[in-house]
Amino acid sequence: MPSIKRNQIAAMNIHWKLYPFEDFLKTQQQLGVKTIEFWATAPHFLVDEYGYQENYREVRKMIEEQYGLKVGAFTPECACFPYQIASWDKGLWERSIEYYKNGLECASLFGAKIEQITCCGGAWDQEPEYAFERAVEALRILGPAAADNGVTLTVETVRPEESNVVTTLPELKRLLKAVDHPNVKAAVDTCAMGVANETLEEWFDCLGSDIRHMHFIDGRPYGHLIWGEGLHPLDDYIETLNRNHYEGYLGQELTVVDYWFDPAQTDRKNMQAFAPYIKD
Amino acid sequence: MKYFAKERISNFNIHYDLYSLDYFLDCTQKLGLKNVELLSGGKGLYFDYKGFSDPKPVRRKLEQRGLSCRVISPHNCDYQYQFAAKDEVLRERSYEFFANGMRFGAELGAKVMQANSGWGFWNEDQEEAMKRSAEMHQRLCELGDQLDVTIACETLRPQESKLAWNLEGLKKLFDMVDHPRFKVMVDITAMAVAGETVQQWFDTFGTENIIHTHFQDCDPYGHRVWGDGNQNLNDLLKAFKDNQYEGLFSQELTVRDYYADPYHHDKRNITVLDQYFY
Repeated sequence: MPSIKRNQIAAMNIHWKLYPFEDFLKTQQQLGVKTIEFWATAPHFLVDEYGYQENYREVRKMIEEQYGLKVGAFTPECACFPYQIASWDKGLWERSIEYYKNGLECASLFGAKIEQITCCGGAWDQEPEYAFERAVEALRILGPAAADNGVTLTVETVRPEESNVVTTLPELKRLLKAVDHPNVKAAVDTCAMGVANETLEEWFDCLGSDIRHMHFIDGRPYGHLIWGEGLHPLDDYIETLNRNHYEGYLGQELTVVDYWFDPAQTDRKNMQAFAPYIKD
Repeated sequence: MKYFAKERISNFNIHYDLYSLDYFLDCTQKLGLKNVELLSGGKGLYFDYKGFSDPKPVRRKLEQRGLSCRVISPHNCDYQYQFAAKDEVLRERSYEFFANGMRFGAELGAKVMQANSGWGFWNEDQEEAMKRSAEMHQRLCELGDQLDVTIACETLRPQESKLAWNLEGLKKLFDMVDHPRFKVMVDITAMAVAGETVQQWFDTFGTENIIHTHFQDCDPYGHRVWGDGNQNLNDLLKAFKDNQYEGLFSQELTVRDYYADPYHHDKRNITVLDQYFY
């Protein structure tokens, strides 16, 4: 039977935006979760190009001591906010670099080894290659900053509706080669992967141990769904993880609006799907 | 039947998110429109809680194309900032963000800032959240007095907020803010979701207090091109006409499928609207 370790499951607070952060932590503790992928934005944790929330020590203390959780990955919001490393707007591009640098510092302050990022912001009326170059240039600056903080920056692909670059595995491979920094690696997002008609096998065949993080969720293939609501065979996926000795985190990035209103119930159902595979 | 002059239609850059500002403005000009509402705070139209980018290049881009920005719409649903934030730091930053949005808008010539009630946590006392929203809007109204900018507050869908998601909630907020710079606007989608009519809005607030609309088709959810929903365009426009509405009809289109080729969908939309605008 394929298996995962309990601490590989990294619960995310992305669908908890209508509730206080502590409610999220409380639920994860009740569900036996050990790790979180900290989605950092209002109303849970403020980070921007100028800095980050000053009480980070208390927040970390609450996460670890009060609720027995650990921050595995730190993920500053990168889909909705005006921070995009492939942007045509020079000012925005520069601010984005500062934003993600602050994210790297936060990751380190929370004891996380991963900061998750996307390559968005290219304009549809411009050459995709221009956006690709902007992303490469930004990651060349962020790579050394990641190293300084002892953090690996993991780049995931996104759906072609979100960006005109880095939406497929070959493009991500090309990006990583162009950046060529040991602290800039890959993340699988099973939604983007499915939308691009790619398989988990292909990702491991292509990138192997350069895959350092995952948004491991169900999908049809669109949607960031709890396991059981989509079309992906969880059993086979976990077997693929095992065969490729993947020991990184499985971030639970659940983004369906319906999940926002009762996120605890959403997480409970999702954890039930994982339960048979958890081997501590 | 043609009810209003075509210049009353305002294009909105929300579905041009994947394109540059120049492209949006060029397309708007080609559509024969004169007014834009600008969703702002991000690329090309940057401001945040510490300041704002130089508005001159944007003003020039508008002037070159014979366009006016009469309504500024700082990101108020998807960025960090919102009108009823609980956390004190976030509340102050939200105020400064919207204040800078108002200043940025004023620099572009906008007389209206689009807004909503914001939202509290789902499991907190909503009265407290409503008070925070009212206080925030009162502060922004004072700045509005200095800048000659008026707030136009729309309702949200009940999935977005437990505060002003219907007429009753918005009327409550309107009375609490109680400031001549605080007015309201109809969002056809939120109105339809709440099961309300245009006439109920005018009966509740009066013509003088309804200064703007997000005027798009819906079913009742969605912010769609006219024809992609199920609303009665003629009856809606007639209701606005009967009530001597003087504001704009802003096309807030948020269906993700439109984003890849927004101009194509704008052309479809304007073709339908042209039958009712002279």
